[in-house]
Amino acid sequence: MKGLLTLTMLLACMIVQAQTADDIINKHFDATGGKEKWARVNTIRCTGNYVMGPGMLAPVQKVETNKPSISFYSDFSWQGMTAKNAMRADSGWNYNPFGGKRETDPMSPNELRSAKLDADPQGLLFDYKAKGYTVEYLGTEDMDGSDVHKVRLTTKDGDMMYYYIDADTYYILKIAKRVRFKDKEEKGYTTYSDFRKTDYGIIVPYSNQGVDENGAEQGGPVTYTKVEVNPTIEASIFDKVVKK
Amino acid sequence: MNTKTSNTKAVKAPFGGLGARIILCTALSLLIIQADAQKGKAKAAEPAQVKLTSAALGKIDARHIGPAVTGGRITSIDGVNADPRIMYIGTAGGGVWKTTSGGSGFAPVFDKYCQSIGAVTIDQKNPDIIWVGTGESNMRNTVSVGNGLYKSTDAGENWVFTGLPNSEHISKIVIDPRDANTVYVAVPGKLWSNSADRGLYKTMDAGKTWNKILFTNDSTGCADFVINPQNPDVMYATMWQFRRKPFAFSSGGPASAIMKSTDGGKTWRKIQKGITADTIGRAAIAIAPSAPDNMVAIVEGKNTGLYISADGGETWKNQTADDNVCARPFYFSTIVIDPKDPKRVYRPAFQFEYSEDGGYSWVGAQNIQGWLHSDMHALWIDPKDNSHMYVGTDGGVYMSVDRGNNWHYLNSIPVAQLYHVQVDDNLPYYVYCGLQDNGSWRAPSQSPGGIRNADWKNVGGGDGFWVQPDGENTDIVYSEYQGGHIQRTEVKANIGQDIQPKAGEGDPKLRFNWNTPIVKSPTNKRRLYMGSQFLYMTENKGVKWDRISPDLTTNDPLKQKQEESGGLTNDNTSAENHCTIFTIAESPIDEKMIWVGTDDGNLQYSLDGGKAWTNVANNYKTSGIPPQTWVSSIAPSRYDKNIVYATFDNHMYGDVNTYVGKSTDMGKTWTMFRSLSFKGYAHKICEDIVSRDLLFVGTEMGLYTSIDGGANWVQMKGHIPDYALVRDMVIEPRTNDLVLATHGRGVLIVDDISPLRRLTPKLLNEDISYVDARSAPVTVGHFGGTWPDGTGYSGPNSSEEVAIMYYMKQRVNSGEVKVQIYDDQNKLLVELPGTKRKGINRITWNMLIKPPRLAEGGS
Repeated sequence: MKGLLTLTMLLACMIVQAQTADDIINKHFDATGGKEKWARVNTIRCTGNYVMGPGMLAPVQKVETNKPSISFYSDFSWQGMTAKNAMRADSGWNYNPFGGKRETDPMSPNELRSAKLDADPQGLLFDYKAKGYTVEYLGTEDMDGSDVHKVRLTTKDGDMMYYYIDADTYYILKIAKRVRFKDKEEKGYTTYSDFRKTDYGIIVPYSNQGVDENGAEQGGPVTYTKVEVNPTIEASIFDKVVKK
Repeated sequence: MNTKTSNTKAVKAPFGGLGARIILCTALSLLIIQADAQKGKAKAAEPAQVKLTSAALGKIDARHIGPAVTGGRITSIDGVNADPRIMYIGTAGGGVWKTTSGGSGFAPVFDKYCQSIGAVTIDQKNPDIIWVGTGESNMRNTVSVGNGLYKSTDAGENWVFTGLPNSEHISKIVIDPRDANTVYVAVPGKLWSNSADRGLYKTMDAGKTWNKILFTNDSTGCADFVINPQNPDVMYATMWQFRRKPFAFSSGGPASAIMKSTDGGKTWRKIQKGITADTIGRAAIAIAPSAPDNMVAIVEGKNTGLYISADGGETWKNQTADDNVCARPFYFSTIVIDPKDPKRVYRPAFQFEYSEDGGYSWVGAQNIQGWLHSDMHALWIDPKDNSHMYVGTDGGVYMSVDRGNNWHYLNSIPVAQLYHVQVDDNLPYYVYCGLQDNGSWRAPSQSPGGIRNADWKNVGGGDGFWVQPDGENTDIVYSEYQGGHIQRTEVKANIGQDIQPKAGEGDPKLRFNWNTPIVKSPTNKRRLYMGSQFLYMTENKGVKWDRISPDLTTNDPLKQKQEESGGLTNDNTSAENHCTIFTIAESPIDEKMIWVGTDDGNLQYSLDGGKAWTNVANNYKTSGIPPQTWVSSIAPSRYDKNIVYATFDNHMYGDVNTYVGKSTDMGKTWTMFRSLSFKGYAHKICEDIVSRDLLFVGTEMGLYTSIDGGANWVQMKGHIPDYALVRDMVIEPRTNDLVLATHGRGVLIVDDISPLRRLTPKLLNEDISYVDARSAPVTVGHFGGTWPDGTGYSGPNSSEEVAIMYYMKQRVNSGEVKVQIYDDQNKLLVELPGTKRKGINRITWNMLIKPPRLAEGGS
């Protein structure tokens, strides 16, 4: 009897452990609109401002799509000029006129690999197995005073995304991105807030802030005034910018 | 514009649909902090009182200013064989540091865990797996303690506790090259007490379960361990009988042995054929990876010797070797054979030496460009390019590309081991500190471009401890080296003079502690105290010392046999000096009131400047504080002469509990502060200079604060490692900076603790509230300094922008936090985005208003 009890407890522990990472991820999607709605997300367009300094708002726009392939576009406007980044499939471009240059530079392979991790409108956690990722639950910890679950997602390239998921709301409060190139490792940290329900019905952060590994703010926040799900997008925005 | 709020009124509008709205008026400005937040999401105000937590302290955080001009003790180094740009460095008190650039830069990767590191080992088949054993095994008097084994599976990003919680010290971790799930851990075990947790441990399931496969007795641990890489069932372990007491060290004994197993640790036998000593102490062994029958060992005995074996340890041949090779075996336990060349043997000890003939002859490093710090404990050789190597010393990490002949210091790891810290009255103020095996230093707390290595000025040699700037002339500095050798230094002239008090004719021999207190009077700028078993005072810069006490210790003769200390190897460096004064404190409100604590448990005070003394040792014992313990710090209150605080350190009797006491009747009765937050033995208590209820405690494992006079304590974690070894601290009175001495992470400065003075129970219950911080002058920046060092460490300055701080009971997940700043005409000057964390938030304003409309650019 004792042996059976021990075995039962052991199995129970294993089940809890085995389910934990998926459990956290499922709760995250349940809390932000449900998997059914997220499954139908193929494009997200965010429009808002980057807060450069006191009263200095620079309009920004970001588009992420997975249709027909993972693609990404962003722009930043200031003093009548607009810088742009775009990526489609396996090619990408940077266009930065602020230094006076009016030509487009190709993204390096490293930039492209990093940009791809940011371009999935559903986020990498959604349907992660089908996308070829693995996840691991790393337990709970304190993040700026909030209890969070920590989940690690690993890509086939060995890049890692760490998700800090609020233990109360199951919103993602922070993502740490760690890209390991052949000759260097790059890390980036972004915190998320101002969670709102979109017209489409999913809950997304309308504000994000770059931070360093200790949580200190790096630059100003980005605040979106509009988040559209599955808008009609001109496919040409992902093309190489020829000239402003 | 000024945000000084000495006459501030706070008015809180109803917290409803529009969010909290707090208006703070000052003489010159009006600040509005508006949380357009919590709309429908905010938790209802909780009726229960919100207790102070670490999280509530929020952005009260520290900056690390170094020094890295010299480092701290390095205990273990391992590199990724397939990509040697990636390395992990274990330190004595600063955690684990990682480089991905072969040493161009380092980052700490172990800040949430014990900072004393004994061993770091990479799984070379999967170099994302790192094992770390906490608790270094260089068993000197000041060694810290560990709390077990940890493992990372993602190259140091995350760590999981993996067992051996009572090991306290770990010397080696070795992975079976055939199966990475099989790992061996050598545990010397507890230094200060018996322990059944010593020995050699083995896991075959990657750390889920452990078996102790070699154990001798509860005073004998496993000091070294190697396996034959070509036949990993063959392995060697050295067992070491050792023990420290506060006043003596014993290395060696009949249970010490060199052992061999040929069946993966199932059975063991002693292999000491040819070892000339009957009784041995600590033995270090090395095996030639390319020809594993070849071994070398340094075996402590009455005559410590070098031994060579050519038959896998079955027989040993004694080989003469110089003093460096056989030096101080309890402390220098590293000997390494080149990964490719079985005849090339390295012995990092006092100096760096190597042999090209298997150990028969030895030569020292060439060091064309100068200096390699003495006292070495770790060596890693790149197996693909064996001319490329890294050595860990008491002063940091060095790299060589010529097989150890010349060395380059990697000056970007700020792991200095401070004992004490002080500040002066310059602006910016200078920080003074004494470092284990690295002298005494000072540096400005602010410097253009950051506090760089070049900003640090050496003000004393030897092992550094207490450092005090002269109260009248900060170009005169008092420092010391071990055993009370105090020196007065004229910094600009680079002149130093010995001013140690000497015994007069007929006087007993003076007993100065390893870490002799040199303490400034808080009431008289000319006055300085120091102590042997007697208390001394000078008011003329140490030209003449007045002995103002009798022997204040127990003067127990059984604790004064340091000449016999060391065990097999006599080792009398003043580290075991005992029955000495360890801490001194003059009352900030009565110059005649002096408190003294000793290393043997006495706690005495005088009310007449030293004429008469009262010992209250028997009184504190009744509160649960052990007798004979070290009185590690005393803080007579600045608010009431009857109040005194003290910390007690009993770890040298095997007791690592936190003992912090308070007396409100001048030592007659004591109350011990208790908190589940406390961990680690206590070094320092500090009373705030403004709020009588605000206290700070530093322990071997963290910094703690209380805002209610000691009733409740929380740990301060803002950019302070969770297990930081906080040995001393001081509050700079003009900036309200809390300056910390850590024994492994250098100087940490918590800029402006004044917000902690506002953290009342009422405020903690507010949803959002402004928290007054220090005022900031308008500056136009600073010019000067020098070009960036390139690779050298640079500690950050505190921001010269004005800090705006506010408290929020909960994190804001929905909505924005905005800080609006108005002038005295109620005109909006600027709006800043606010941060949204729980607890104290801190943003800065550059004191610029919104610029006029900008012209469009482009063509």
